[in-house]
Amino acid sequence: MEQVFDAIWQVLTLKALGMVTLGVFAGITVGAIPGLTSVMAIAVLVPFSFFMTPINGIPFLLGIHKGALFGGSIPAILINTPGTAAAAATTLDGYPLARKGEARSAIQMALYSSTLGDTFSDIVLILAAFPLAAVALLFGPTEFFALMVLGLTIISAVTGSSVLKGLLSMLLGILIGLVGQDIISGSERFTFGIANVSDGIGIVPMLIGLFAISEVLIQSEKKIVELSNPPESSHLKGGRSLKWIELFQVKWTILRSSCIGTAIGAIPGTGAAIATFISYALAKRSSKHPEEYGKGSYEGVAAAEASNSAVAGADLIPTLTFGIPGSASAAILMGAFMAQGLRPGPELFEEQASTMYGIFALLLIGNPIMFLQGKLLTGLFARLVTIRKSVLVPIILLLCVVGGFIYQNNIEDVKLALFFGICGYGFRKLRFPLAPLVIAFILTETAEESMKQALLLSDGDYLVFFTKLAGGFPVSGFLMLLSIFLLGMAIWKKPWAETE
Amino acid sequence: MNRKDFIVGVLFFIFSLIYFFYFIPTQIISSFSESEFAGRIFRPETFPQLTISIFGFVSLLLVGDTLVNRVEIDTTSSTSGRPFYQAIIVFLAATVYVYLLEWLGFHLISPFLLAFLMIFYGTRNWRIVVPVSLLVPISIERFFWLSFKVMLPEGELVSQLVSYIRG
Repeated sequence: MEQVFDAIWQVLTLKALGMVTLGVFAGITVGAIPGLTSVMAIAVLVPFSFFMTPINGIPFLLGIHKGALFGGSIPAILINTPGTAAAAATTLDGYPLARKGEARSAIQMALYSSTLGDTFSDIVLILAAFPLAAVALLFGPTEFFALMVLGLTIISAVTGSSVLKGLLSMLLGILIGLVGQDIISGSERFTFGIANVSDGIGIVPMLIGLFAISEVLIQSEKKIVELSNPPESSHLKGGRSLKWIELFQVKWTILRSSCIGTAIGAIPGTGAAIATFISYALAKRSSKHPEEYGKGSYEGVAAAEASNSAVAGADLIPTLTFGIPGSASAAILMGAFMAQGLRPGPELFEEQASTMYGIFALLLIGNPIMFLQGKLLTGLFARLVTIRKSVLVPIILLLCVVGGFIYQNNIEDVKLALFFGICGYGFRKLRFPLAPLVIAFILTETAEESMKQALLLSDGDYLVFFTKLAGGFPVSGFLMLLSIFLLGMAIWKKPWAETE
Repeated sequence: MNRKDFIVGVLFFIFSLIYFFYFIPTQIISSFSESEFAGRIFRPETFPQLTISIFGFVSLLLVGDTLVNRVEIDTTSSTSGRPFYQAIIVFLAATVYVYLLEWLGFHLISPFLLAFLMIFYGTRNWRIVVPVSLLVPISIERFFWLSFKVMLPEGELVSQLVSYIRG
């Protein structure tokens, strides 16, 4: 209890609240600009958090994650272009509403639904995190290795259109993670004599390169007219405000979509796009007015937005409790945690419990902050939709360079970011998902350490991963068999839609 | 057959062979002798060998998959070479900028990069290009200095020139 009060005391500082506010504002801003993703925004802004304490820096990044999911609905409604992939379903009903002159009320519906969905998933995260972390503490290296194999298998199989490409991406991430010193023997591996990588590849240059610079290159492919001219937008002037009765009518849709978003978001690799479309389809099926869907239904906007925002808190569940990030955004956040000296996983809840309580409290406080910003600054965010990309993209590139540099005050990191930028661009063009690569990169050190510890305890018996009993149950064996089964299913059926 | 995936699969398989037979023996510099490792599993090359073996195998599966599923699917979104060249020009501009950054510094070279890219992307209005090119680098530099006391690269030539002027 003392830790909880200690955490609340830490939270109630103007600086911490200011950082969440700033993060949410940055997130909505980026989300409102069509084509710029929250993953890219977090990657570019991660270095800023290094100058803050964990209690300020992490909520700042979480605020971006939160804000971007709502922000993505603004261009989806105003110009029929989702700001993020997760907001694609919002266009189906949001844009028809905007064309009817109801853009303001549609954005307000998106705001209310996002706030409620996000709050719901944050509460689930807080309730689930500590018990799950307590269970994870019972795991030994064998179980942890099996859990990481399962996490990586799901992410590789689910993310992207091809299971094989997902697997190759994940294995490349491991190979990149092997660069640097071997933790057991201290041997130098694959550094090619480059001093800058003798301690391993820096996570920040890699993230900036893969997600932000590659995005700049992808944006550069667009037609000059598209880049230099502001898009035509349905304006907010004259639009009516949402009535409370309209919000009350969709209460069950919001609750159901929040549950779906939270449940799907907690599964590694699934992401907000899948959750959103499933929620939308279910809401339509159970609606009293399914014929209105696609023609401007407030219920449709509520279903899509509640679900996609519910993923924001839920994908932190595996990240924080088991140390296995469930999405690219979560992987970047995990990288930021690590750069702050906090390694996500069950031990974090033991060693830094008050910090975690503080972060959770700020996560919750972020929701009313997002609500207020959305309510008061809708007009401002709506104007961002029309910003010229020809001005914005060069500034983002400059921020990428600065972000790479300030990581360690080293120009070599900027060169590394550029290298990963062109690699990321190539991967995206060839439709190799980036999330498995980054997640595998982050997990490599722990996975290798766990594997070697498990083998050390079993005198080098590789079958230990299938035979070891934990509390009388073959936990690792079950996880390994589940991995093999899921991988087999994924290769056999290939049912997954593209999620990146 | 998806030609691009086929080529990627073949290249990845060749890479896995080079990695296994050349990189692992030459790029793992161990300070211990063979006998000092209690068992094979603790050698620094074990995990890389395991990973690259699976990588090579999955690459072959990708090649096999493209041969079995002989449906021509364009895996890239672009339909012509022009967008690709646009991206490459931006990348080259960024690379030249980063190398010049070491010599000329952030203040001097950043406005040129911004101006070049804005014009390249189609903004021809000088009332936008000039103020943005000049004000954005100054704002970024001031922000980092005033907020975090971080100095962005000054540039070798510029710092030499400054020290020369100062005597």
